Amino acid sequence: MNFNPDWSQKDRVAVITGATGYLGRVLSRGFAEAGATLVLTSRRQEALDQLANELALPAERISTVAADLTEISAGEQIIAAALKKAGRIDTLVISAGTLADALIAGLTDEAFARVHEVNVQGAFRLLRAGLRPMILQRSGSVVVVSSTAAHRPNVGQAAYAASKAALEMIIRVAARETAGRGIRINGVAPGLLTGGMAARIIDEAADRALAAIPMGRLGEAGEVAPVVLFLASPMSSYITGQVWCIDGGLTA
Amino acid sequence: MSISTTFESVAALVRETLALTDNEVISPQQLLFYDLGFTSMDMLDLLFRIEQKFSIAIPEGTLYQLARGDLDESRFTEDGVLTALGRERLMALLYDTPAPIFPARIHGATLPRYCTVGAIVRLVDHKLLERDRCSS
Repeated sequence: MNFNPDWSQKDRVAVITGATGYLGRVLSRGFAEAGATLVLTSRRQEALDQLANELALPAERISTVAADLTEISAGEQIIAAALKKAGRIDTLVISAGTLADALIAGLTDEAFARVHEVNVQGAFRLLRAGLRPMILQRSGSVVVVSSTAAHRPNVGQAAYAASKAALEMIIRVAARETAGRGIRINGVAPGLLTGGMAARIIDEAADRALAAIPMGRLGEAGEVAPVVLFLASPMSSYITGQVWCIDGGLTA
Repeated sequence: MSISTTFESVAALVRETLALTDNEVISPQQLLFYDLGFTSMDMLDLLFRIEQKFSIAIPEGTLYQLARGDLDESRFTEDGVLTALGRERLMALLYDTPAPIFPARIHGATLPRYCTVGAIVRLVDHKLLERDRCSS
């Protein structure tokens, strides 16, 4: 078998949620530079407009959809907008997420539910909507952004860790269900990134977490994006149902 | 759309779903799961294709609702399994499915697996009629 490394996303359509977040911005740039047509989503239209300006792609290669994943119709709305813009979806990157750190004894029902509403239900609805065109076209790649929190329990992260663990099981089930339709579903589980959720972790926990990273440093979004691009590309054609930890050895 | 036109379109979509050639004969009497080897994913795939082709919506549970009709939920199923009356209703709806296909206990979530191609054609025609009624 010939092996031709091909990072190009030319003529491919990528939908990226959470596009204006720390990781989402780097992912958006990565897919843009790889040649993809982008449909970027986030809660805030102004932030999307700013990102679109920065990317400076021709109009036919970019569109934005402001949507809140806690809205039941958000998933359908995003996918419908993408299909209207580009007629197909080759890659769906589910990068939106939230957290509410607190010790379980003090974690409120509302905070627990809100984290699950975005990280599990929101992602699930988006995945469900995105699978439909992929099933019809018999191809597609979904990359879901999880977290090492799903693998390595952290004090104060019950809501977040449980939501990401649930999300990873959805990835694995969905991969099994859709493999026969030419669809691949994988995840990446970043550890602590310099500008990601780590920035919101209380100082003492961050120090402890840093000490536990064999590489002794936080990661960068630019160290996660290539893995997402790889999982979205035909180079990973035999990989589905996997979640790759990108964490400086944290979960080794 | 006439019954035969609907059938030809549905048969074409069944072929697409199963990646069959145009030469493969699809007949109204064929059972999707038992004769054509459908899986649950094939069923979902076919329904997606039907919804797209005919611009109709066939939400989850449509067959269940059609079989139940005006019957109270409690008289149609018990603990998720069709009652004798529920079974009668289902068999009346799926009248072209041979009786031995139906197991002793029919779970309410499994109804699509007893459909013939003809039953799907009738479902599509029913939905088309419903759509036309709403738009007129």
